[in-house]
Amino acid sequence: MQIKHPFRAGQGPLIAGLTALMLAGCNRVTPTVWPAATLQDGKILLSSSHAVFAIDAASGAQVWRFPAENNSDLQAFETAPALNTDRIIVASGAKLVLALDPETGVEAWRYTDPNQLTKTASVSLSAADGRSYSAIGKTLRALDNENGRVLWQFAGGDEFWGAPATSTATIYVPNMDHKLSALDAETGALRWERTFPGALAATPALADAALYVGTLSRSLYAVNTSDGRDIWVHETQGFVWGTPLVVADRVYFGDLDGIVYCLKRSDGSEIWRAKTSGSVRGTPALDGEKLFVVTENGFVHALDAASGAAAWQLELDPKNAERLLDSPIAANGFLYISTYNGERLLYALLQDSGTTSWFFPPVTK
Amino acid sequence: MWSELIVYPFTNALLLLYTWLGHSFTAALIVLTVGIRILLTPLTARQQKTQIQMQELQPEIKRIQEKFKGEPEKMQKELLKIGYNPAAMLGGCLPTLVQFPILIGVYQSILNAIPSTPLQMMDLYHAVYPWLFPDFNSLLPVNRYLIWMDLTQPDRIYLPWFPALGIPILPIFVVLTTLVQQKMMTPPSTADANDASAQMQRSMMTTMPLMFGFFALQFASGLSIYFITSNIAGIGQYAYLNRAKFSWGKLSLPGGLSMPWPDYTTKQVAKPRPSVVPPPDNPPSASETPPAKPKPRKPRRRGHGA
Repeated sequence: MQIKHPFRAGQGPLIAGLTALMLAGCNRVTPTVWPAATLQDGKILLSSSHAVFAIDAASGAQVWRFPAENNSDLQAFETAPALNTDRIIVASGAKLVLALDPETGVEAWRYTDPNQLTKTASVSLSAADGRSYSAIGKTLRALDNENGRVLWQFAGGDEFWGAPATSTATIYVPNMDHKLSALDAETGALRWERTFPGALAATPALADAALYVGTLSRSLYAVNTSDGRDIWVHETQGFVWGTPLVVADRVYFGDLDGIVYCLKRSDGSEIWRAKTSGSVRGTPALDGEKLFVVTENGFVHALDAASGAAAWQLELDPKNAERLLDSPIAANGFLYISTYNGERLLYALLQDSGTTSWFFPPVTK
Repeated sequence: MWSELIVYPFTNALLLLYTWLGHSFTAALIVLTVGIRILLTPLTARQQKTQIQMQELQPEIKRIQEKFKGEPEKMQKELLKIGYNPAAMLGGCLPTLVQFPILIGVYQSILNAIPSTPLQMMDLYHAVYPWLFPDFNSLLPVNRYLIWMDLTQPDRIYLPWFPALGIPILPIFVVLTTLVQQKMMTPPSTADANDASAQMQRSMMTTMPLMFGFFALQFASGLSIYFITSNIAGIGQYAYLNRAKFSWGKLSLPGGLSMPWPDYTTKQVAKPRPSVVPPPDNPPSASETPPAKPKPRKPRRRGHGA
């Protein structure tokens, strides 16, 4: 008879069990954001964890998808597609920027970030005037929309989580290092730069000669586009992460403590505020007299845009939709909402009642 | 529930240490790891004492196994006489079991506390205790870089003249420190090459470092820093607890490798009885080994009466 060390004799299954536990508890390091949707020419363009979809905005039918088959090398497409006149620009966590044909979804060109420091990086995108601006990690690049050639690049102090706000001559680039930089769109030369008390995680809203900048220092700033100086500052309860919505003389936005604000555009004074059920990350959507916001914990709120009074609210779909972090889109009587990590990526609700008209992908039997 | 009980407290502790230690996340992680080791000391010390006890008993166990081959009942009795109690020693598994949920919690809190993606930032917003960090936004973005390393990514260093290959520096250190710790805590194997226990020990010596190396290779390099710090603390703790008999120079690694430092014993060791401890390189056969008498036990006194 062989006496075994008791601590070792049973360790095979123990090691196997602990390994399984460890692997289950520690997910692979894959930087993720949330699926994001854009509306263009009657199509919803949706970036998701494994593909970019073009979906008919009226019926919810798939028009095309990229890639046609799942390809794990491309990782997740989780940045809202940027639209240009003849290209759709998408980006994946694998540090790739791709230009697709808007009608067919066929790849026109791709740009691969050469930085090898990390396997993946957060990406933000915008496009204007024949250029697309892709920020991968700490580097912002202007790419030629025709062929993906790098026109210029700009190094940030930290990562660019928010895409640049674009105008014809100048782009305004928010950075997590608390700085907002105004760059010449043609050359990338720095025009001005200013520092905020908090990190800038979202794209600023650009309207006329003012930028509306949400910060993680619990404030919304209105600054001059010419020199970046404050026009006014409005303090909030939580982080302001979404791009504000600027319509006529009003500014609408939400914060991560679940408050929706309506400010007077001229001086930043508060017209109304409304409490919602959870963190408001995305930009509110306005259609007619209704303002729509979605919350991280899965609720959709329709508010009266004039007073902030609740029109209706509902929990979207607790079984099939998790975390509403993207901005809703209101158009043609529908409210389009993309979800994070749910079985259904996109919902179309009727604006009047919140009734679900269709969802994507449809249930297949 | 898991997040509230394990991940959030670790996340806040990490951020608090990060604030106190000059915004160095690596220093915060090292201090937290040492803190966890200190909290687990009652458990780990018990485990290590059990292992030290096993190491001391190993020669006698071997001798009894040889002597009472084919007489299992007698063998059990003799083993019990020398203080070998398998049931009590099974308690040594407990620290390992306790450490794994902590390990997973620490890993998740590393990713939570240094948000490298927007989604992680959302999670951090909910994880931070507002009463502890009223000015939380001033900590953002959390500095997650150390020399070449991004602590949220698996560690690789790319050499400019050979960019195709990323060298995993930290995982290599994880393997080495795990190997040293494993070697220290493993009782000397018996001479019998066919001994299942010895085979298991040898297999453990290889698999444990490789398993942890695999984790380090796959997961965020912050976890590697936790492994390395925890291993070094464990090595130090073991060397201290076993300071009377421990010798760095006597540590030998698999493949006949030995430690690159001289055999230095921190304290004079009492000479082991030659009849019980065979020399490791040339173990005598059972027939050559003179039977050793079991250590006489002092009779226990009952009460204080004469």
